[in-house]
Amino acid sequence: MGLAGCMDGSDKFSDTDGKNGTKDSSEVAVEGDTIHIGGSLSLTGDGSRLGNVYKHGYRIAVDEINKNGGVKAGDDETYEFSLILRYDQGPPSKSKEIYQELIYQEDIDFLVGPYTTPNSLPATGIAEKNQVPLVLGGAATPKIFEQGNRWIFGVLPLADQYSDVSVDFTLNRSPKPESAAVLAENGSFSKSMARDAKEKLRKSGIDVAVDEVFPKSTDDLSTQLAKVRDEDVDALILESHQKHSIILARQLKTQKVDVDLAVAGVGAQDESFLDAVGVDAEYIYAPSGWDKNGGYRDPLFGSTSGYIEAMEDRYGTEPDMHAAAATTVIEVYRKAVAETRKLTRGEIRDSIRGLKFENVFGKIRFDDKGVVEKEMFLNQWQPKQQESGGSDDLSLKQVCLRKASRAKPVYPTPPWNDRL
Amino acid sequence: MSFAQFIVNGLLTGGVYAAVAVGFALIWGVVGVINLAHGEMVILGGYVTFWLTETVSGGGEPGLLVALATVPVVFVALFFVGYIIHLAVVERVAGKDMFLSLVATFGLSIVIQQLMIQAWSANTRTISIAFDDPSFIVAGVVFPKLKLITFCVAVLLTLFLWIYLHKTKKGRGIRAVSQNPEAAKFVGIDVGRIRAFTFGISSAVAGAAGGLIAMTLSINPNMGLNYTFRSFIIVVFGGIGSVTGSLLGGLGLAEIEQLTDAYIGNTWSLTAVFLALVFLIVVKPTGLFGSGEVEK
Repeated sequence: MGLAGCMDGSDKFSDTDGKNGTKDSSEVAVEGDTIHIGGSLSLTGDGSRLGNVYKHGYRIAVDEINKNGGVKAGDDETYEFSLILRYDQGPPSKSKEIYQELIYQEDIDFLVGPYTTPNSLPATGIAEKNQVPLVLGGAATPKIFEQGNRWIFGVLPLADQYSDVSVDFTLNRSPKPESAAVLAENGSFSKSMARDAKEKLRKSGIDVAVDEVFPKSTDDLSTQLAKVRDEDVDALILESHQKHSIILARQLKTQKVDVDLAVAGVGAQDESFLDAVGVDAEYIYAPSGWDKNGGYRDPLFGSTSGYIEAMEDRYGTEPDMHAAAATTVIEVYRKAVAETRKLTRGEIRDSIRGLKFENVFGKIRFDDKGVVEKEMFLNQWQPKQQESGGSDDLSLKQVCLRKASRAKPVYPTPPWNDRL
Repeated sequence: MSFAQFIVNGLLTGGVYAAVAVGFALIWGVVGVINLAHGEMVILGGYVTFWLTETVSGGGEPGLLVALATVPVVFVALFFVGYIIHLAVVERVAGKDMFLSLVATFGLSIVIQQLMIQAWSANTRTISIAFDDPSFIVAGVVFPKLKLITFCVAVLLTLFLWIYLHKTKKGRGIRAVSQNPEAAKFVGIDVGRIRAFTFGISSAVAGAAGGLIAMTLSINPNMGLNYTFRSFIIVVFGGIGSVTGSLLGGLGLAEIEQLTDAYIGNTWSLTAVFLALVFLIVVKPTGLFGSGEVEK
């Protein structure tokens, strides 16, 4: 059925597919003095932790913009931002429904993304079909950006960049590891990272002796780690999210698995990871798309530290990479609006494509596919001092190769018997 | 060496699965309800344990004795939670259309999950216990000490329940209600109270098992459904209402999962479990030890 009945009389759309629009949707302009931005998030189920993180990241940026009186656009008018978030409860089909509602019923001007890849894919399809800009703060699977979409942008580095930073680091160690284990969560993002990592390791002559995929729901990696121990591999790379990074860190010790380096998955760089595993985090490597100690300048919060302080004051927790990515999504729209004379969807899209600015997340610019061009970081949880004793004495040190290293990596990792 | 390691891993995990499932079996056998909120009681127990150990240790790593001392406290706390839930919700839907009880307990699971998210956030939590050396090795097989201890506690919890059902007056009352509620009422047993007590004790065992899971694995508010699902399989495998069946079903399920995981691939574990289940249902529809009521 057509959703003409849901329309407000403007000439935005005439049916659910947007195929019969009487006017090019890219010409639809912001009406009034408020810019409506909409999106969906999972606030229950497996995605609820990150759903809340993204909600906070979006919300603080929108409130900060409005607190400062809005954004002065290229047309010399000042606009406030309004954020409409729906909760998708998990299934991708619900995400598709929500994005249709946001466009047809809520008349939103621009879209922000859900977190996961399965939920983002239908959202990107709807946005592209209806010619509405969609900036994703999550969903870093490359296939999202390989569909030739012109209206989709992503502020997180893609999955292959995560594996690149870990594998490059591994390959540049001395002595060079001879064998590796790659453990991946059964999800498109993690499997994509694992595929890239294995390919690169094998090309470099490293034997991938353990290659395992485990279900998202598992809370025990002892079987996989028994294989790692049995094969006596030198390097272990986990491609997953925070939950399994926590399980890995704990079970490496209890299963007495000694490797020269162990790289955990996304989320291992967060304070919540350290809170969960305590001293077992020691010497674990953690890839990240955000250097929270990077000292970047930010147009809303002044600096990275100003942002961290604002988030801590408001939500009581230190923001992680995902929160910073969500805030960046809103800042991308803010910057695009400020630089655009005519606030149509098409003009905003073109403006985003040409943006170059610095904010809390780093230096932001997008490539031809709409993916942020941004460096990745590899960190290691290291003792603050040589005589450390507990998790309070661990700190995250950046050890990656792509930027001047701030700390020397502890490599090879001391065996458990020497640490106990 | 790996084979022995996989068997040991399966046994250590299976003991905890059994302690989780035994309460599910009891509620199904005695109250006649498939409790879809059972997994949430497990996770709630895990969070109460987490909260207690955090409070006692002031945020540091608690000692083993402190952590284990929380188990009876969690047991009592979850008993009351279960008892109240039965009186407030389950009693009103038990004995009616099964669809009603499924919807009611599913609703409860969502409510408990959301309350846990509000109270403790959706972050994954674990209880790190201070150990000088967390594992020992025998003939090349690693035995994580904490998992071994929690296995023993979980098996003791299951045995406690078996002894309680067979050696106490209340336990005999529970079995009587399971076998024939009308006859039990006729001889003066307060069936409603027995059912509430059963729901309470099942929740208590589940909560205590959740505490052990928080110590050895990890918990987050969204994990409940996994444990409900596993309990369902174990109970069908072992037999509805059977404590022995739950114990052996738990161990069997964990071994099937481990060996499939090790030799075929983790993504085939569920398939292997269901194949075994279908085979058993065809050969023995009441499960290994089941008769449709709490074991005599």
